[in-house]
Amino acid sequence: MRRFGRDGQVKLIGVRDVSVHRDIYTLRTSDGQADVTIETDLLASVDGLFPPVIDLLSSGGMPNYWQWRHLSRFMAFQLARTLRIFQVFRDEGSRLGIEIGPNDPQLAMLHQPPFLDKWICRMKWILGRNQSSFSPADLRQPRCNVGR
Amino acid sequence: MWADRGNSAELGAGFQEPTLQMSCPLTPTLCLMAEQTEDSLKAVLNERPETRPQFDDIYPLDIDEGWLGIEQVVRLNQITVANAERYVYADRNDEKVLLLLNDLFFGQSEPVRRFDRQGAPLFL
Repeated sequence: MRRFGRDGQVKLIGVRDVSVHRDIYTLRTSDGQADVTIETDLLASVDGLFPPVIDLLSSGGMPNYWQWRHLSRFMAFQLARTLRIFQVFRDEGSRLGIEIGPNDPQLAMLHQPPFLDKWICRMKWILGRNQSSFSPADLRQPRCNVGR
Repeated sequence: MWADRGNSAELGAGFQEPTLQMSCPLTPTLCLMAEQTEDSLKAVLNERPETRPQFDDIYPLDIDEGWLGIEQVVRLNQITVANAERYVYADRNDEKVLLLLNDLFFGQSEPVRRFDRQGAPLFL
C-alpha cells in the first residue's frame, strides 16, 4: 500500500495500518483481559440487519415496519459509536471533574442509541432516490427535478 | 447531522436544532433523510433522563419517498464528505469526485491519497 503524506512523499505502509483502528469497542476487565462482546454480540447484530433492508430497497421493495426500524437503529448506533463521540464524552467528564475510566465511553455508547432511535423515529423520513450517472455532464445539465 | 441554512448547511447540528436534517447515504442511488418536525423537536426537548426507551418500543413512522435532483445529490455528497471523521471512501475516481474534493479543500492538496492495485488514484 502506498500512502501520500501532506508533504507529498510516498510512504509504504501495511494495509492494516491505513484505515483500521483496532479495539475501539473492546472493554478491559479488571484483570486486563479483552472483552469484545460489544462488537461480536451487539454491533454485529445491528450491522447484520442492515444489508437485507438495503437489498430490499435497491430492488424496489418496501420494508415493513420493523425493517424500517432496523434502519433507525443502525443510524442511532452510527451516531453513537464514533471516536469523536468518545472524545466528547471524555471532554465532558473532564469539564465536570468526573474521572472517566477506560471502559466508560464504550459503556456510555450503549446507553445512547435507544434515545437516538426514539428521536430519529419522531422525525419525518424521506427516502430519496437518484438517477444520476454522476458524470460531469449531469452536473452541468440537471435532468430531474426535486419531487417527493 | 446538519441544519439547512438556505444556501449553506451548518454541519454538526444537534437534536435540539429546530431545522435539523439527517442524511444517511445507503447506496449510490439511495439516501435516507430525516428532518426535524415540531413534534420531534418537542419530544427531544421534553425527554427525561430517567426514561428508558427500548428498541422494541413502537413509534409511528412518517415516511415519504421521492426523487432527488442533481443539486440535492451534490449537496448531500458534500455534506457527507465534510462530515467524514477520518477518511473519504469512494469506489471510483472520476471527475465529479475530484471536483467535489477540490471544492472542499479549496485547491489545497488533499491530506491522503491512496492508489488501487492498478495504480489509479483511488483516494482523495
